[in-house]
Amino acid sequence: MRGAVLAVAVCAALGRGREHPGSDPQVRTIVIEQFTFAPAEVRVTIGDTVEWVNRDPFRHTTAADSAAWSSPEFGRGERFLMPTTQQGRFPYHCAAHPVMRGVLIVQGRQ
Amino acid sequence: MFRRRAVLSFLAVAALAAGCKLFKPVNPHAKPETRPAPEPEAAAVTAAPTSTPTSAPAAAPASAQPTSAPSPTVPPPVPAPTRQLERPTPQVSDINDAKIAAMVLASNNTDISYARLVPSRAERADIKEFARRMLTDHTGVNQMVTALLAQLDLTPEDNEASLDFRDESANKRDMMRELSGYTFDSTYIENEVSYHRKFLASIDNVMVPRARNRDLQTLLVNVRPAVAAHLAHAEQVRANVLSRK
Repeated sequence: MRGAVLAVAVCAALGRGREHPGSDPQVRTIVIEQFTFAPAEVRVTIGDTVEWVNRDPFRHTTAADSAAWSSPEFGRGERFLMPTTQQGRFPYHCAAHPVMRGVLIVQGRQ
Repeated sequence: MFRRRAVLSFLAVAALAAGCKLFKPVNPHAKPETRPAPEPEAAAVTAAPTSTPTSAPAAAPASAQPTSAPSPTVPPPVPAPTRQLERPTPQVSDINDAKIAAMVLASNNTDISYARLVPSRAERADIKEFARRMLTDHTGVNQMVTALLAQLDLTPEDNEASLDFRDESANKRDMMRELSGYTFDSTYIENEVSYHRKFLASIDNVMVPRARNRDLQTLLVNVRPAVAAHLAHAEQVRANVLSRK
């Protein structure tokens, strides 16, 4: 369904139920377009939610190289949401098109 | 006087017709059962390379197979290798949106037909996964093209390039049907690299610059990154296959 929120994933590998004091969690959007993740590198603060929005007429996924998360395929107008719960640097790719690559960096709250 | 002119004219026409028959070119890749009767504009179509590139730089110009009447500027045909994987895209004159649509559909159907050979012949998981992706993405492109054609009320018009894609794919399918295991995997993925190079060159050098309808041009521009990503993916898988990772 166009514009639908496809899924909200909380990955077990990233941990659950952590406290993250400070400013309210934000949603950071990564656009999938022309077979690229834009921006290619994103920094968020732990507790923020990362949203991948697919604007391509092809189905894509987002999957951490470390297998920390893996989305199902989602099509044009669909999105995948993932709250971040663990710090670290996470290179990721599209499982359908492995040449599409990005990096998600999750920082701790000050 | 009039009679003499009429006789001379008749002789000239007869000589021309005989000459045409004598010099009728033969395309070794053509399959009579898949190629319909030549249309009138076929005479204006040439497969000979010109200064305007219509194919991947890696394609060898000497492998072009002329399918139209030879002219003094066209070099004599050079026999193509029997297991050649890459041929340049023939240049299509009088190109229009209907011909471009036929080229896109033919090139997509070509890769779909290759992918359908994979499940029963390949041994590697990455080859099978790659073929599944080609089936999905190229079928998706065909659906987009078909929807746009309906919207534009445009009928695809076959031409030298679209027919060449079909003939070439038929030859390669015949060859790959006989293979299995590692030989099939390496041949299939090598062919995918050359196919996507050729498709990409055709998009860049012919389809996008020559498309007149803006929606068709936008569709081609949107398809291009997919073809480029497929090419990069195919090169990656090929490297793994060759190193037997």
